[in-house]
Amino acid sequence: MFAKIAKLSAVLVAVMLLSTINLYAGNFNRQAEKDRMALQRYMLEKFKNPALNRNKFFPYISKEELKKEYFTNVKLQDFAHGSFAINKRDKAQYDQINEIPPYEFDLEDGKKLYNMPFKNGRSFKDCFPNPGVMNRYPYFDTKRGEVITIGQAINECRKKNGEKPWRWGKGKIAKLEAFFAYHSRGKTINVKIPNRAAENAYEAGKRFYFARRGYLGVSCANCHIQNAGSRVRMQTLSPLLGVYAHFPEYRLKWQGMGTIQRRFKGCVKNTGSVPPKMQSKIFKDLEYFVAYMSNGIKLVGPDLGR
Amino acid sequence: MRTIAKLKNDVVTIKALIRHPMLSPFVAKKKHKKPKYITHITAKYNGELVYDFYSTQNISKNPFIEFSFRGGKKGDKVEINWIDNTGETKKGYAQIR
Repeated sequence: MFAKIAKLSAVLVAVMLLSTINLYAGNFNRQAEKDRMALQRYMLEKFKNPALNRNKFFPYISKEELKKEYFTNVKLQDFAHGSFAINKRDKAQYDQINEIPPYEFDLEDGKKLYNMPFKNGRSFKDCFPNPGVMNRYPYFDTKRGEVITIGQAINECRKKNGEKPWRWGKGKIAKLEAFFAYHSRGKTINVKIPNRAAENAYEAGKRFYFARRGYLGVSCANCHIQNAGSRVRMQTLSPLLGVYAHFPEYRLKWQGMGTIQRRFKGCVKNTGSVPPKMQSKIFKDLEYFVAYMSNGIKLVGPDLGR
Repeated sequence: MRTIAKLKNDVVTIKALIRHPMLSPFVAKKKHKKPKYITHITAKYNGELVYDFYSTQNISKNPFIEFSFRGGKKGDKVEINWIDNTGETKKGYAQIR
């Protein structure tokens, strides 16, 4: 009888403990979820009807241009294409160029790189048996205490098998990433924040995004949240929402493929400051933040950019 | 080479993207390579010449061409040839839809 009561109370205590642990484990993304939902609400309201909301969001663009050149009622999944979902003229150019996409030759190269064996006989197939892995990166490795991005994972696979690592940002690594992204089309971005260290990485990325820098004194948020949809140097600025879904991209300015780290470096240079090195700690945290903000949006693989 | 050929209102429009590095002498010197660029592109339909294009060095990597002609039928093939300054040649086909 006493044994039964003891067992029951032990079970009850265990259940209570487990429930509290579960409740506490999911709490590291509370602030991140608030930020993400606030960004979605802002962007959806901004591009619902640009001509009507001119005074609030677009004070420097004329009303005729807003009526003629901008789409209305942009949906959440459309933001995966960036500025091509916002501006009609850009979309027309995009459709014309995409009849024969210029990144198709890079996709062929990526497939060859994926199948090419290393010196010890193995190949990328052993590290990435299924090429559709872009929706699993970036993630926070709790044992190592750092963010792991797709570029870092590719070079770590090469180092493990005795090969020299590739250069970041462009060339072979961008082609292989494009091949992975092509096979991940349609999968949803789902970045998680598992513990306190990951939350600190997210906050570090967020702080970098909102900090002003350089002789222009602008931050990433000035252009890509506050002025998304407006123009800078005759190019439409793409919004933060959905950025991770269309990388790596074939940028017409580069005439080649490039990764998101390459774009970070170029953007920071454009503000007039010295950028950190690609795949350094701060840029990995920035990628973590940018990818979390695009949670819920489906990947559209290697895409075009201006 | 990627090609698209469409037939509409008696006119066939052909677009092609040719894979070629197109290194002009100035750029090739910087990269320590030999200059390599396409000099002549032709297209033939049923043995007749429909497109003739000469160029030197000032076209960028992976050139894109577009042309149209009358008198094509659905299902036929158009042959596209190119030859570059080192003597290399390549053939490609476009099927009219």
